[in-house]
Amino acid sequence: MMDPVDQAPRTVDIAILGGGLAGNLLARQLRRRLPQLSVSMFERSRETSFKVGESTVEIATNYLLRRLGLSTYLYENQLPKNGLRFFFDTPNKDAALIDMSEIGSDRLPPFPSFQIDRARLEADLLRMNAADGVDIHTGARAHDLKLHEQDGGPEQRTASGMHEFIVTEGEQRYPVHARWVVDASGRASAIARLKDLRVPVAEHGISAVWGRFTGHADMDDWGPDSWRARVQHTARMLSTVHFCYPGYWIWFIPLGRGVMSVGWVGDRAIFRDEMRKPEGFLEFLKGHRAAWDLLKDRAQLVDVLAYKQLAYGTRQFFGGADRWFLTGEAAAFSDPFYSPGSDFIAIENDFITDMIARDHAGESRTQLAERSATYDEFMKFRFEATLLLYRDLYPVLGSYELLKLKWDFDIACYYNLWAAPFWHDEHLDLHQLRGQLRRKDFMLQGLANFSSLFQRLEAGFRRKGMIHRANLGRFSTGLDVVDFANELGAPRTRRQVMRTTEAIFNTIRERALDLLADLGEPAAPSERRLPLHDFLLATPLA
Amino acid sequence: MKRAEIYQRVTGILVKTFELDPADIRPESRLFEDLDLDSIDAVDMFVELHEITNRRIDPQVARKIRTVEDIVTMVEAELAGAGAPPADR
Repeated sequence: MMDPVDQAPRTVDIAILGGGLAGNLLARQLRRRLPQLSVSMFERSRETSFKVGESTVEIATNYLLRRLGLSTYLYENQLPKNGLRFFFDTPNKDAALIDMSEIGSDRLPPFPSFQIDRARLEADLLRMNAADGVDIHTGARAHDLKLHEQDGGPEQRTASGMHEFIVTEGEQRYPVHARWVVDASGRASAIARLKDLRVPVAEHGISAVWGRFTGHADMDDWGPDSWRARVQHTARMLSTVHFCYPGYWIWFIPLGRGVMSVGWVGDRAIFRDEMRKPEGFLEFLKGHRAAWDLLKDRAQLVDVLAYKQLAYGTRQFFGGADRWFLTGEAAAFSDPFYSPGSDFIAIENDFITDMIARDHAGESRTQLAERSATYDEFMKFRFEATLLLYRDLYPVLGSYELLKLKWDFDIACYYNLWAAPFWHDEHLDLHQLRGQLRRKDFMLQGLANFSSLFQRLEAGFRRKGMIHRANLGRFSTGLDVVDFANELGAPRTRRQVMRTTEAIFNTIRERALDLLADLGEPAAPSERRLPLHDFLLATPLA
Repeated sequence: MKRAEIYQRVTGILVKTFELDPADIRPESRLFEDLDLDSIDAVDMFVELHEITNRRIDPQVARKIRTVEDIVTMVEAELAGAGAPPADR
């Protein structure tokens, strides 16, 4: 084997480390937007693997359709998703599926999303990217990365003035020099390690176990006709199905071709090491009648994977002026509930592509640094807001009434505050972004206030033994608060967005006050409806 | 910062952020009734005030704000680190 230093380096414009979902989507985006730049991608494994996160939501889907032109591909090769669906159980976990209270749509939702077989998508993207001229290396390990940081000390600069690393690919070892480097290598992130960026999120201690099944029962051919008629015979099977319990949830996500992804996510305190093994995972599932009824002994468990600690953050997402970037799980991960992972990839990849395009067009280092810092602050804001959806709220999952309240709040806020602005590219407009960031502390405070309210309700429900009181026989489409969906097709003024926010906040608060009254804890609000600013200050909402 | 200077800064914010006519702003002007601001404007105003005081607005104080003068008093108290409500002055 030749020593790598003796070889002439291979020079490339953009190097992407990691050829999973984030890296492949970015490679496609770069080829479409900046075809004049060369892109090389280095993926460690030879085969695409089975990973968590098979379900997309509305930001990611919009990115896949609008930015990446994958509409026809997705409809032809993956499954359209029928939103989220939640089922609730008895304390003994012995309710039959058809008796469980249910939150879930009775028609395909207005905004598209997909259930994705990730292994298949990644393999297809690799093939499409190779055909588009991306220089793809699989079974290629990138190591000994040295970033070139112009304003850094001598040890932070390279002789070539480019980012440098070595690639080991089979018997070959060779140096690579790249103008831009994007780390899309997942949890193992080389840049995160090199720059010590990883931040633990110990306060949100959740674990996950998941596996693939074949031979499961068909939920749409289940139960009496009246149960199927309740959802107008829409395909429940196409939803991300959640079986909800205090402290954890079990997902069923169809991957197509007779394969079902089944996973458990919950409080670390509930996680048992035995669950990492097929027998342990099956044993755990057997304790939940409705979920197990769909699997029983006829279903085959193909594989199992687990993570004991899912969430982590990053000190920095992008070094735009220094031409390095993190995307996907190389940067951060919050929680799989509501599937935000691919949304983060969408926003990060948009930011990265925009910064590379501007850099390539000759934008100054100062301007790039400023933009990169703003994009970074937005990602941190987004991450913090996402964690607020989950942190300390897992106990709420066990109650139909409480999760319905939280779901109505979360889905309305998601459409109003996050999804619609993305659809209209407001995240790429520095002026709009700065406006949003100036209100960041207030908005986070508002979300934290609702989190506290939900926690207070849960504590009261638990104390009075009311968690399970509405867990059987109820049904909701879960879209009652999203009455503004038709307005989202066009950009709205900030005022319209804030008016909708005020309306959502008041609706949810009023319903929470009714539940508090049920608990015999009547709050004493001076007025029934609050002005928006009252929600955003550090005071309890009830 | 003197009270007069704070008043200038506050009216400057109101003029710039809400495109108000400076002639319409007097110390006794009521924010919602006279200046036609609403609760969404109030959020923006807090954001701007935060940039003067560099402190989090005390919700108890914020709740009592009715007039331009109340804002000046609040900012003055915030800058002094006292955070006393306007009603106490």
